[in-house]
Amino acid sequence: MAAVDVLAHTTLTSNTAGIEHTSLSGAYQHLYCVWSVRDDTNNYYGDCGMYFNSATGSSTHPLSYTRCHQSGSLTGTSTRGTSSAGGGALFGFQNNGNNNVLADTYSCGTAWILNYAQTGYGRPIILETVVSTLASSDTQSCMLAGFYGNTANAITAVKIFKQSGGNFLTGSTFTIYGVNSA
Amino acid sequence: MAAIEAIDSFYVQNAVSYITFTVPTGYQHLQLVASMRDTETGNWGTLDKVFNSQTSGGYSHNFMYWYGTYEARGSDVGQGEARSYGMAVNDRNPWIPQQIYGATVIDIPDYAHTTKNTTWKYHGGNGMGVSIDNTATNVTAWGAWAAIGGGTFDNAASQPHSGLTTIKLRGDSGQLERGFEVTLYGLKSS
Repeated sequence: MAAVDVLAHTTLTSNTAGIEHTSLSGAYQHLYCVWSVRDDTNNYYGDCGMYFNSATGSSTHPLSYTRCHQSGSLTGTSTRGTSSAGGGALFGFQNNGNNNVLADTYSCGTAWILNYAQTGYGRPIILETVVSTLASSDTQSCMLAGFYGNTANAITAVKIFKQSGGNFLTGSTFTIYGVNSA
Repeated sequence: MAAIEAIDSFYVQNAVSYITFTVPTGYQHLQLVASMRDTETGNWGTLDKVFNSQTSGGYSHNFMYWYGTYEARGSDVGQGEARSYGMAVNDRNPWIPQQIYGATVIDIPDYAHTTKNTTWKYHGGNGMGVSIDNTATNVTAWGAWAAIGGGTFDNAASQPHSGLTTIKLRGDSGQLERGFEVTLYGLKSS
């Protein structure tokens, strides 16, 4: 069996509130996600969210994070948060917005979701994003360690979306890979 | 067919100024994984990428970084190459001993897209191989480095964007040293 398989991929052909991949096979050890996203925020960045099993806002699907995050001219700082403060989703990372940033420029994001199909334990998440443009000020970098506190359910669906409401723009992509163990 | 394939690898036997990947079509994303050291002078170095032989500007780069007990952020705008930090530099020998190489993983999503600007994200750095003595006057923390960042390539002269066909790798100056190793991976989407 191959070490890595493509589980799902979407390229948006119209502006859409988010991208969700469902019915993910539980046959792999880990998930690896890659996205390239721009949203319709009237700013150089927009806040992104991620949640699992279509269960945003549910107390039985809690998420939390600790991150080191740099914004504009500010030095990186460490912050943390929980999904109860983030509308039920993992948050704290950003996309390129649609204002004051170079046209046709999309953010880069990757995430590892470990042991995603294993119940009885929470699932750790390692996530990185970069918002860039041709300027020194309107940029962001984020490295984040997250945790999915649900222990009862395998992760079968992953969604990324614009946390504050609104749309991802045409051309945004989201790919999920299944990564095998030996 | 595998979802991730090794497109090409280079191992530097004798110091060279640069190496160049020819980028095929057929993948969704690219990833570079490098073990890197060069002969440039200074306290730290970058692995620079030149896309499609274009060096006339249009590259920007933002990052946060740490060395020793220091942390900060930085940016490079309007450059002639796509930068990523973490290169071990021979100039800091012996604080960065000869056997120490930096490491980096660089992601380039949607590299073949015809309307999106090329962007990249990386996480890289290098260790020192020796204990840090922060009480010394020679600031031995210089040289150790960790960074996360990324950037955008948008050269107006090359629009509309036609996707990546070549990636040239080099240091900011000097040569890539013997033992420098890099592999370009292609990630499929179907």
